Amino acid sequence: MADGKGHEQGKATVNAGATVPAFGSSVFTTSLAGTYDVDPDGTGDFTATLTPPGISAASAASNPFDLGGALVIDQKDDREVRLLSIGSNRVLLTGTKRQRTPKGGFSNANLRGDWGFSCQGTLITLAGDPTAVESPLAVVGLITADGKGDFLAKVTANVAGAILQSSFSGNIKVAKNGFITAAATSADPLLAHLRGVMDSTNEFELIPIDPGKIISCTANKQEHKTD
Amino acid sequence: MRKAALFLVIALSIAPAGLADAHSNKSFSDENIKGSYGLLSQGTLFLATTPPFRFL
Repeated sequence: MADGKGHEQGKATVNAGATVPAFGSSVFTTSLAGTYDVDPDGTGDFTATLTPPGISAASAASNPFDLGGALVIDQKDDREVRLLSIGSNRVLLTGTKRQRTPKGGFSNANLRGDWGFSCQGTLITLAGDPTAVESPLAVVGLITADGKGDFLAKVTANVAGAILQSSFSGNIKVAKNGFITAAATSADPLLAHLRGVMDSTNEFELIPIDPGKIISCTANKQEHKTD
Repeated sequence: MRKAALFLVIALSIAPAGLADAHSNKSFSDENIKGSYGLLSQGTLFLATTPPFRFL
């Protein structure tokens, strides 16, 4: 949430792939706060800090999520802002989209229908401390949601050149603020436990929160035209 | 993934010299960033371990 006066705050879910010492976990949800300053040409700078739960920002020594960097506003109606964190210990690119929230907030009913989606990222398999094997991954698929909390997914994945096809079902819930919680009920699917956020009633983004699955997904609603 | 992020560094750091006339007359301010935003971040932290990560 940005106030239009240079301050933002919110909540973030992180899948770090390995334990982040300041947070004591590889997967966590925490608060986010910071500032921004926009120049007349639409560029600017920002700060953002993810604070470990139960620890004040000031006392969180060596917090890797004490971020800051450059921003640029793009897209029609200033809807999208891109943020690049500049720091010697990270390469981090962030895309944000102003939410188009339906009257009364988001609900499960907003998910009803078919959604084409794609994902990209990395599977990390620990092959012995501290060695990890990273496998590039890309996915395309179709999610069909009934708008009442259940979904079916059909996916094709390419994991380091190996092609996997699978179908699975699960539960999915949307909070009023657009936060999504999803879990597959089938055995051992590629995308088992997910968190996400709706940008509008036609698009949402997801990440798995399973350890070692460092993947981001974007879904867009299919619009069927009838003759 | 790392290449994509580095490409953006370059894009933002090259000033559009000589292209001033191509700018629109629109003037931005903090007011242009207001409301609720969905966010997806991806990249790599160079910690003791260096896996990529996602957050939103």
